[in-house]
Amino acid sequence: MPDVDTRVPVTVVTGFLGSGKTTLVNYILSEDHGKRIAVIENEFGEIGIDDALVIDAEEEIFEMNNGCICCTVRGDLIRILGTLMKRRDKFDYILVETTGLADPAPVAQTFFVDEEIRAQLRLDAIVTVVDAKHLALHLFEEKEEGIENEAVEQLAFADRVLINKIDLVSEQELIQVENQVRSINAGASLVRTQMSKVDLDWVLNAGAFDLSRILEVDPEFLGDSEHQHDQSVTSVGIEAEGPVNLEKINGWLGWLLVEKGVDIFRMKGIINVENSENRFVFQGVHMLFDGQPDRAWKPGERRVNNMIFIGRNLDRDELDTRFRACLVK
Amino acid sequence: MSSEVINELQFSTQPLCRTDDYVTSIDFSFDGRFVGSASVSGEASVHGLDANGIVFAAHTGDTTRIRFSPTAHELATGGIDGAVRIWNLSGVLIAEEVRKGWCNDIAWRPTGVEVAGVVGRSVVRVLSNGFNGVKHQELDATGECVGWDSDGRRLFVGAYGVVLMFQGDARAIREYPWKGAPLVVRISPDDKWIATGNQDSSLHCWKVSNGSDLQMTGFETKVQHIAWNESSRFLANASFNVISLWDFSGKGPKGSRPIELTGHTSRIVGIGYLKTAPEILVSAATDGTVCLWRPTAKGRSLIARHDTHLPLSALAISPQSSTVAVGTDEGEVFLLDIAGIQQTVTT
Repeated sequence: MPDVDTRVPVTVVTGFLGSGKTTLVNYILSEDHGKRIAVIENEFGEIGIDDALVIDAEEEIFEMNNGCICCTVRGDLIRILGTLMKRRDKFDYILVETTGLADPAPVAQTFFVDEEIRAQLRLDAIVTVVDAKHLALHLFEEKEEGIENEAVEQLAFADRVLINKIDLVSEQELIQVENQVRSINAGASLVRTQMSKVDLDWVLNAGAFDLSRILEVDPEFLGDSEHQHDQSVTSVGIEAEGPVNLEKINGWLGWLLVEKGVDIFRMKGIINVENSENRFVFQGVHMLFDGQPDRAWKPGERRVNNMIFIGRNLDRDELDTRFRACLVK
Repeated sequence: MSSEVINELQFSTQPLCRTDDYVTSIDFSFDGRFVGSASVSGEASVHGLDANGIVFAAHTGDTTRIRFSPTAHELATGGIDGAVRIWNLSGVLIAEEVRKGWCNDIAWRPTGVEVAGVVGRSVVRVLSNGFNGVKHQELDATGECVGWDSDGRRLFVGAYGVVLMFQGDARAIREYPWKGAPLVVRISPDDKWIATGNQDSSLHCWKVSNGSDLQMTGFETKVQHIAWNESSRFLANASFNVISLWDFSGKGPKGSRPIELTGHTSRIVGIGYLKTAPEILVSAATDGTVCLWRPTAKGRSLIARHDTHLPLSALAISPQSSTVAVGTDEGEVFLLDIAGIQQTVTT
């Protein structure tokens, strides 16, 4: 890998209908950032900005027969991104806006599975826009057996969450909304917005999928205290000091991907491997996994294993116990 | 990488033509006298081997495919504007059909009377006599690829989850289902097999007659290029920088391992058998190399490798001579003469 990642970054914008996704995209396009941006979205909005290209997408989902039962990709995105990257005048940035009902997994997995896309583009972050006034309504909407609640999934996959339309709710309601978001996804960064107006550096080039910039998980969010609702999608954080045995941790990762991959939406973490001077960093989407040795531990740095899992029906004790069994005694 | 002395190919350092951007597709006319290219710029080009020719605006947005008629001096193009067009060699439009979506693939009926293409979720048929009247068919998913059998009686269309067989202009008469996304479909020259290269790094084959199927997996990347040899015995497929060759003789390739051809260092952009020396397979890759292979079950198979030092993007093989054309991601087209290599091979 070259030192400087020259791949074109892609931000995925998700959120329920009416949350302010298109407003965010329009806001990004209209700001003076000097970037040539291509937008891939489902319906053409009111976008007519110079130097921006808007492409209509169809959200066509392909299941992949690659031994991973939950692996799906967006066939239309593969075609569109493949075509964009052939152009001599390449875009500096790509935004993908999904429909309100979209499951973010196929979009994220597209960037792991297709090697041509992977070689030329990098998934920068998944940004989810939330309507502060109506979030609870969507989160607790009764779904038929086996049908996913897309609002929950969109939060579970997020790296960045815009709590939008804050002018329509009270401070108390806002705190409640933030707690609801964190109880599903303790790893995402939150910001309060009106009209989706946000610091562009916060949503563009966030580097949330960059292994070398794996976020230090804030343990404050990882306690059980945030569990206010009986819900199946939660975050589990593991923090443990001490080195792990390489062979055992490989076995643990294998178990995790095969047995829990279907239920894990996102995971990322830092591992302290025995006899290694470097941190090992990893991330994953369902059964797709990306891991590599990272920078060296600094002198005096606490060598802590630190990771977060966001998913469905996660058993905190099981994950924690099995991980701790890998620690060198 | 082979350490053996590999033959050098003759290579014209002058481009045959230039378009403004990445060459997506390239083809020879049936008589080998003309080369056409399609460009991300929306242009198409037609040139004689003497470099006389034209570059013209064929589509709004990328031209995705260019294919010459198998019987006449006409060519067809497809573009992301949703159009499938037939042109004469002067770039004059003869016929067109436009549908919603992008044109992902086109193929001439071997009789030369029509071009079939997939545009979005439509199967489009354009008649070369300029008359309109062929029924279009709708698909459940975006059409990815099209191919005809040898005499042009049956059309095969690949879309997510299925290959459909059409006969005449009626509805699909047969479905070859399989849960995967085909990127390329090729019918064996003896019309016995359908083969697809797929997004999920696999190759899938069905017997045309009874639909029984075979699946080859374990490739490093998606399979975008496949080619049958003239006798239908061998099926070659490219996945990233490796070509795999499957033997369909006897009991067929079920349970067997392929012959693997390695020599390229990056993504292969095209493979095909030479018409004038049908035992030789040609391949080109983004690393700039063009390789000639004479695969046998044992022994040496790479017979020539030439580094063009160009960022190659497309490959075409003349049906009449020892000439190969390559396109680049800068929009240029170059010719390579491989006559010397054929002499080496036959002596």
